[in-house]
Amino acid sequence: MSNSQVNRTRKGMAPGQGVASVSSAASAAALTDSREPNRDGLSPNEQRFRAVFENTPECIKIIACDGSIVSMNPAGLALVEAEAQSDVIGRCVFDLIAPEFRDAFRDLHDKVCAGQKCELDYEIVGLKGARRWMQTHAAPIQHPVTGQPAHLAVTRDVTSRKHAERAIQLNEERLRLATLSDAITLYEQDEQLRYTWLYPLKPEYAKSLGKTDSEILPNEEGAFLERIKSEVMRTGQSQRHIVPATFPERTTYYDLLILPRRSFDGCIIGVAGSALDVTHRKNAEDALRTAELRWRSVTEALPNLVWTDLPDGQCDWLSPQWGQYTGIPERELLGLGWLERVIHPEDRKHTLECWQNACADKAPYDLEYRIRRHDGQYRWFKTRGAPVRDANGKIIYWFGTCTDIDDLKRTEAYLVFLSDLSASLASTESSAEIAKIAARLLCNHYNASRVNFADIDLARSEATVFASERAPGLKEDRITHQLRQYLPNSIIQELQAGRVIAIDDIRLDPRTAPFAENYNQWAIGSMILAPQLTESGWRFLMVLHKAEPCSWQPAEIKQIPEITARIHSRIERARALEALRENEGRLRELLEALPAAVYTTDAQGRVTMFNQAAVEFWGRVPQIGTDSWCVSLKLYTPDGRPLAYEECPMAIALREGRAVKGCEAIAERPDGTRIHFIPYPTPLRSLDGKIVGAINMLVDITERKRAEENAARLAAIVEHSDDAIFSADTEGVIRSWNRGAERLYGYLAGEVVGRNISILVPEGHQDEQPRFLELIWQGQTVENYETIRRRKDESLLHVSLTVSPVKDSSGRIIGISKVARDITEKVRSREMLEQTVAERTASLEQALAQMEDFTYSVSHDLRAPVRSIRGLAGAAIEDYGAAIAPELRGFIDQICASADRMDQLIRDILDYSRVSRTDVKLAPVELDSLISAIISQRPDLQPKRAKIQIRAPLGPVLAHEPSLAQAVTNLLANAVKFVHPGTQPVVELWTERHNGFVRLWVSDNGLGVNPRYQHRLFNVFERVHTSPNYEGTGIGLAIVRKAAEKMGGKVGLVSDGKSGSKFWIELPSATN
Amino acid sequence: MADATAPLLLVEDDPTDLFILQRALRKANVTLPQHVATNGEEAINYLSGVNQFSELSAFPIPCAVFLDLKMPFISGFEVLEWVRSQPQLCDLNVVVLTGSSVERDRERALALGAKAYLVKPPTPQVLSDVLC
Repeated sequence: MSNSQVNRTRKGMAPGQGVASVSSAASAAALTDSREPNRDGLSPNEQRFRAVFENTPECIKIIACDGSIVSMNPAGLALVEAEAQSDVIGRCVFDLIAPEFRDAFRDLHDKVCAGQKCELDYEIVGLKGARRWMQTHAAPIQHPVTGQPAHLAVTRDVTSRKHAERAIQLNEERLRLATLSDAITLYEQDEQLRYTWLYPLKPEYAKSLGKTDSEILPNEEGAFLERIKSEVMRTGQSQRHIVPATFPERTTYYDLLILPRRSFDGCIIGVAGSALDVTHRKNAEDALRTAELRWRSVTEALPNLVWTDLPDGQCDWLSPQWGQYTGIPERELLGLGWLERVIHPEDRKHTLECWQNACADKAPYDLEYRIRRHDGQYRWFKTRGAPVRDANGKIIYWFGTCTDIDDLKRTEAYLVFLSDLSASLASTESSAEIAKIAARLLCNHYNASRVNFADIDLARSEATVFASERAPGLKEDRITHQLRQYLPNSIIQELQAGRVIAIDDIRLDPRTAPFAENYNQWAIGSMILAPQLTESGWRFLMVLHKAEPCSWQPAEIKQIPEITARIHSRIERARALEALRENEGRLRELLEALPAAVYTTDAQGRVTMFNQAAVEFWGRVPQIGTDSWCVSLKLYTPDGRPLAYEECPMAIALREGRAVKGCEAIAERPDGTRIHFIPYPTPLRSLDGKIVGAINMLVDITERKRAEENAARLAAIVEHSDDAIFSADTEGVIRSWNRGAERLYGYLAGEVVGRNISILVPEGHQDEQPRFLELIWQGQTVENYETIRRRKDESLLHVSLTVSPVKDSSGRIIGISKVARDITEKVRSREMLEQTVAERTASLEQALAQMEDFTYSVSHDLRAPVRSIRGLAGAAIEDYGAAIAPELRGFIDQICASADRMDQLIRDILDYSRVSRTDVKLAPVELDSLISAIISQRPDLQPKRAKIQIRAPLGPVLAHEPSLAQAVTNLLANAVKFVHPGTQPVVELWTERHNGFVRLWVSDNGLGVNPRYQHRLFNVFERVHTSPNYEGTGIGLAIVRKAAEKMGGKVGLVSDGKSGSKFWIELPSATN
Repeated sequence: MADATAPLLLVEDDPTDLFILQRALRKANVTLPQHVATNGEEAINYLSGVNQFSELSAFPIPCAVFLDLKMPFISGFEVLEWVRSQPQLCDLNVVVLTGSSVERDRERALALGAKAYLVKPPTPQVLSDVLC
């Protein structure tokens, strides 16, 4: 056993206490040991001891050296949970000791057996397992029986104490840790507010015990503490404060909790509480506050508008500049108030979008928008916003600044404007355009309602507006204004001196107020007048108007003179050019108007100027200053010899310095065409008389030449024509007479020219001449008019006349020309032809009549014998049928059939001939009623024989009803006839309208017609079904076709030769 | 018919046609006495009671005339025209019986006062209809 363990066992033991207890216990034990043999012989002392032993609440036991328990009193038995002495006597005491204390106890036991007294706190484990804390005072003793050294132990149950100690230790530890960790101090003060307890009691606090706060802190802080603590005592309400405690060495801040302390009976007997040292935190807060203050003062000192927004975009703080700038209290701008209240309406949407995007992206952004100043003016601001994040990167707010960039913007805009202005003004040479463009740009740039440019006539004190740009709805004022109606002398003088005048408010400015009415009519609220001086004084004025009063910015006003000067110089330059061009233009127009080619050259003969006629003359556009005057022409004399350039009139004019006139020449263009012309070259001299060039006019006489040639050619043609060609004036006096006329009429030219044309006109035709003249005057010509004329020898002849006007060069009719052709032969042959035609017509008519008779005879006479044959044969069968031998009966039947067929043939031929000959007159025919009538009349078309379906209405057609009836009947008869044996005929009729025609379709379910034979089907006597089952004459469809053609229609067929046929007949529609 | 004893006058130049007409009349049970004229002239003579027809009792005015159109010398049309010109014959029933189915003939016959226009060959039914 080590010393430390021994020492530990002594811990907490009161000095002297243990020894006394052991001594008394040892005596009691000695008595007990002798109890058994001397039971009855006890001395009174012994008896007393025995009573103590038996009744003491402490455990008294004697342990032999070997550790076996020799004896134990009842209290001991109870502690070790033994029922009787026998449970423990003889047991090894170590078994009862908790294992972790066994070594210590063994150590103690050995020491006691060696004659020492010892103490020990330890735990035992009862027989039933309960653990208890024991405090043992042990002393050596002699074994009552063996006399050997033994161990007497007086043991007290200290379990509850130990547990309490443990709890206190634990709490104290906790308190210690708590106060250590958070610099918390607990305190108690009595009724006089003297500190009575401080925990943990740090050395520096020790001197505070027994003192009041004001004694410890002899200043306002101490007084404050006393005051509030007194208040807690008085009211019984706890309080909490952060208080400073300033000591010479340092200042400490406490978060002070003050609670009333009450006695058991509830009286307040002082205060208690905790004091938490928050100096560190407070310092941090102060530092933060200081920083914030510094930041605020910086932001407030900035010219910028500063703001912070919550992460959701609502503005939560605005620097005071906002209020100063906008004139609106901060609270009205918070949230989204700023957007609605002060952002330029045009910028709001963009601003909001940009801001929302930035919020969504959580990224810094830059943005420009206009913010309204307290005076209503909008100024441009550049805004930069950035998120401020906490240590975790979460956005805690947005911070932003708005920097006034209006002046910058203006300067920028001004520079852009100047550059635009220069570019725009350079885009045109027209002074009017320049003024217009400049005015428009100015209007836009200065947001002016009107910009005027005016010329100033100072002598008359007038301004004449020559260019004006104005907002829609404003009155045009491009007129001459009297300056004195608008401006006082003082301003006029200023303007004369070239100074810009800006009037913010026409009505309020004392200089313009007297003229307010005059301005009012032009809707002017404010203006800038910018004069431009020239060497001859004030000549130009630029005026900017605004409809409403405004405050012109000094920056704006400063820009004006430069702009005015630029515009004015540009306009003046353009005007000068225009004046020059106008003069040139007039000359140019004159040149261009000349029908003759005109050009000028320099002294070397190089072309310097030319007109369009010259271009046409040359056949190409010459190169100014390069091409020579002859411009690649080849020159010839009028009789076709080449002309050397130096011999040309132009060359002579240049060389000799004299004008050359009237020389004819021929020029050949590069393309080979030739021009007859007369040049008129004239040298041009400078002021000092030197030849500097020449001007040449080329008169094209090609047309004249050509006309002359044409006239000669024409005269030759006329002269040699076989036709008689002559002309007369409007009076009818013959003016020309060609050879043909001489031949035709027998008069020589010399005989008739000068005489009236009526000498040629025989009796009965005298009215023709005035009629021709009248037609000619009406602008018509007479062509191939056939009439009779008289020759010189009085004989008459047939002529065909063509009469046309003779016009002078201005188009005036000055006479008529006549071309007469002898048509005597033609007339004679025509008369013969007419006679022949008449004769043939007569014979045809006769033939037709004979044909008529013939067919009638056929119909009657040819049929009569057939009828007889048929009638007699029929009668024979009827009357003698039973008596006739079968063979004979067959013959008679054949006779009947042949006769029937013969009759049918004759009838069909008659029908065909009738249809052919009938003079058809077309009239509207209703197909529906016509076909109904046909069906009702024919037995083979009755419902029990054939199924006939009509897709009504069929509509009307233009037709000859009998012919149409014949045609339709034949088609229907065919449709029901040519069917397979045993098949019920099914016929369908319908019409289609197409291009003014109606096509009637007759569709059947019959045999069909082989496409190979379809083209022959409508011919006479054509039959495509030769079986005796399908009788026919082969004329029915020929009749249909003939009838259709006679009525201006057509017929046709669609069939594949297997499954029925679709016949059609097409006739003009009656509804057109 | 006006008079039950009045005969029929059959005007027909073709003996076969006449045979067929008479046979049809027989089949139609027409028992009236019959006189036959083989051409137009004879028919007119009969109706006007001249030459061999002067005895009225032997050749009474017929109750009906069956008249062929195409006949030698005097055609049926001429007979019709003549009948029209005879006031005393204004009630005479003339039935044209012809081989011509030409529409123009039909129109002309009816215009000249024919009571009916029949196309040969006559059938008993048609004849009995026309005589009713």
